[in-house]
Amino acid sequence: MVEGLQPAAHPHEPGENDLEKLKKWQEARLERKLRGEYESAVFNLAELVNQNLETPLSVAGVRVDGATNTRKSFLGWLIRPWLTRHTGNQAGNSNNLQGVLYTARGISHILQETDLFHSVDAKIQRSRDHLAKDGDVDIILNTREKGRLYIKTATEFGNNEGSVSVTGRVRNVFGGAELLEGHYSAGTKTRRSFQGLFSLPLSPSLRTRGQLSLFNMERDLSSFASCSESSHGFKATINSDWGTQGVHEVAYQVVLRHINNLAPNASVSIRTDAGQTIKSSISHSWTKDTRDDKITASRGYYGKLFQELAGLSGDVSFYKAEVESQISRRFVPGLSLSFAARSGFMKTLAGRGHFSDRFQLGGPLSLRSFKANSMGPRDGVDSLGGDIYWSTGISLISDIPRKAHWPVKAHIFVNTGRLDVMDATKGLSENIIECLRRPSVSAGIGLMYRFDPVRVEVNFGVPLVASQSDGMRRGFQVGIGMDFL
Amino acid sequence: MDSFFDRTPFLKFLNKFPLYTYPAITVPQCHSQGPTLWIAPPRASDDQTTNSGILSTDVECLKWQAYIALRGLTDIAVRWDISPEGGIDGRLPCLHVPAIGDISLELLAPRAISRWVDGRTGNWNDQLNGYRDSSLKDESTAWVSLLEGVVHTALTLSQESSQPAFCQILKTAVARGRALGVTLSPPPAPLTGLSSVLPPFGTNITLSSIQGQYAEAITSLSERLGTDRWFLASENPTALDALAFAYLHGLLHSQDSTRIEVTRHVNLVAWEQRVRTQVEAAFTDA
Repeated sequence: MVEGLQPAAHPHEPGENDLEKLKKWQEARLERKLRGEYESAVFNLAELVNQNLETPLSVAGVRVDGATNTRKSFLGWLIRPWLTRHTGNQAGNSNNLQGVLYTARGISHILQETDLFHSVDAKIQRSRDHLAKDGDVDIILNTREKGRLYIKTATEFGNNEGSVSVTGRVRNVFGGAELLEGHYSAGTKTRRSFQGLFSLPLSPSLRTRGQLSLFNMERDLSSFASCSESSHGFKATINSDWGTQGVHEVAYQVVLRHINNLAPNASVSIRTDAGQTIKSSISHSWTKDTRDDKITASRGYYGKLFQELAGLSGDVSFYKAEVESQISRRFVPGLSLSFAARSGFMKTLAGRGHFSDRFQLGGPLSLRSFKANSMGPRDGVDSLGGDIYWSTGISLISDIPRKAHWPVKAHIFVNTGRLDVMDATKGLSENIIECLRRPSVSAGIGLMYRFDPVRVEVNFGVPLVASQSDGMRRGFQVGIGMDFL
Repeated sequence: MDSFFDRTPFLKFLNKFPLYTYPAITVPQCHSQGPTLWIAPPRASDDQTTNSGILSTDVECLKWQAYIALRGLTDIAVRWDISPEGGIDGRLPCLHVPAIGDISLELLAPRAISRWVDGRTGNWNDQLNGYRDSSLKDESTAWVSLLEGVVHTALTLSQESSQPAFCQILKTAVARGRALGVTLSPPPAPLTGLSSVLPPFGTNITLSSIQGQYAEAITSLSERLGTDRWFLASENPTALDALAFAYLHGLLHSQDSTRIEVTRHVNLVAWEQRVRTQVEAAFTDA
């Protein structure tokens, strides 16, 4: 080779003897170069866009390609509010490039929210309409729809029972993001359950959904009430997400309950409630959840208020209210404090209360170191449930030393609570005071394991103070579920 | 050497808890303090002057109501808001006996009610069960078979025909009581025959097919009663009287020819009326 005409070597370039290393170095260099060019192009594009945000532009039309299974009327229903917002702006400050980009992003986002599409790619191009003026653009959305059929089988553990299940789902049944789902499961405590559900969006923002469901469930309650319970029901729900103000749900349900399969030693109180009853009720719940993690929260709070009024028809008539809250705070890295409280009361409006409607308390998900559903009034071997209850729990949760990345945490807990029967001769405030006066208390330590989507706890605890009728669990107790006290 | 895993000290430690115990949370008593008979619901009655709304529409429950009343016990409460599934073995009637002294609350199945009544009346040693002699006691068995056979079938068919079809479909096997197939001899044929692809189910029997047997049974009953105060000329009421009253009361409240057959016999109607007054007076609404 002629002297002086050899290519200059890069100072970090490996020598020619190591070909493998040389090849990798060249590939990395090319990738850096392409990345640099890409970032430069994006930067230039962003600069170009930012400098032209005020350029007068207006959306003339929106086209959605690839949504063959989705009704045009439904797509129009979703998109129309965005166009109205864009064109109807009185100050005129959205009829520019910024407004067009905002509208395109909003429409793309709402289509993703329908959960009907794998991908939604938005493009803006000059309008092809013959009557289009200068500055009129079309938004073109190229979509790829998800499959409509979905079947899943699963083995699940949660709320202290195990089950196997089959779920079938049909998405976009009538082309309007409707969902039809059937779920069947068989388990240890819920022996059989079936749910058929049909849901559809009720508002173009997709924040409000309506649901109709039929359900059928058989539960074995013999561990605490010497009977089994089967339920067959229908429920109509409207669920609305108000963003920072929480989620509201209003529902009507009618349920045929059947207390059956009584054990020979079933108490008179359970026998009195045996047989079939119909409950017809309306309910409202409000939920707000700002926790960073639903399972092992270290920040944020959770609040829920639930009310139910039964007696529109049917055999039972009552008013029930429940409130639940949880707050978590991390005060040093690796250590957080969680406080939870639940309370509820039920007022029978006509006739007598029924076992199926009363509250139950106790268990690894409720008051730890007490047997599941074993607190409160008792008749013989049967736990009857109560009309008024409260429970609180404080847990100090800590990472395992030097293993902060592990899904296992340690915790120390103190739980208190009481389940009682309302005295009809006294007022509500007197009943509340009476219920607060004699709490059952438990304390202990344990490990919690994050096993998405549930939490598993293994605790060692003891009841410190209890009523004679409470079912106690001294020593080790295992809990699997999602909502712990 | 004690091992860390020696359970005895560990259990001793756990047994120290709870450190303090409150009294048990009691269940409010919302039922009568005296004996209470759980029965199937009675017939709705507009007559406020009598206690006629207290007699069960179910023959089995009414039989035991009559038995308790005719044995001289009074002020027994009845309640009919409990489903048959709440009874012992999923059936009614049941007798709920409250705690007395050291004896705790007890729920008695029908087979234990007669023993309880004997205990209350002090009548443990009557080998003849109230009949005059052993031949009448044997004869009572035949009358019981007649009542629980043809008469029971006729009453059941009459009650079923007066109900809407969907009510019959919703009735559980428990609610229907004994299957018709075991009350008659010979048992009736099933609804499906040998040539049917369906497996044998149901019973192929109508009221008209047993009308003759039923009429004969009622006539026999009337003749045997005659002008006696109690069946088989007993001095005091017996279990047969309770059973006969239960069936006659049910038949007299039916809506078809079964009622007419009974009303043809004046002595049966008068007897039923007299016994009904006595039975109604023995019970109070819980």
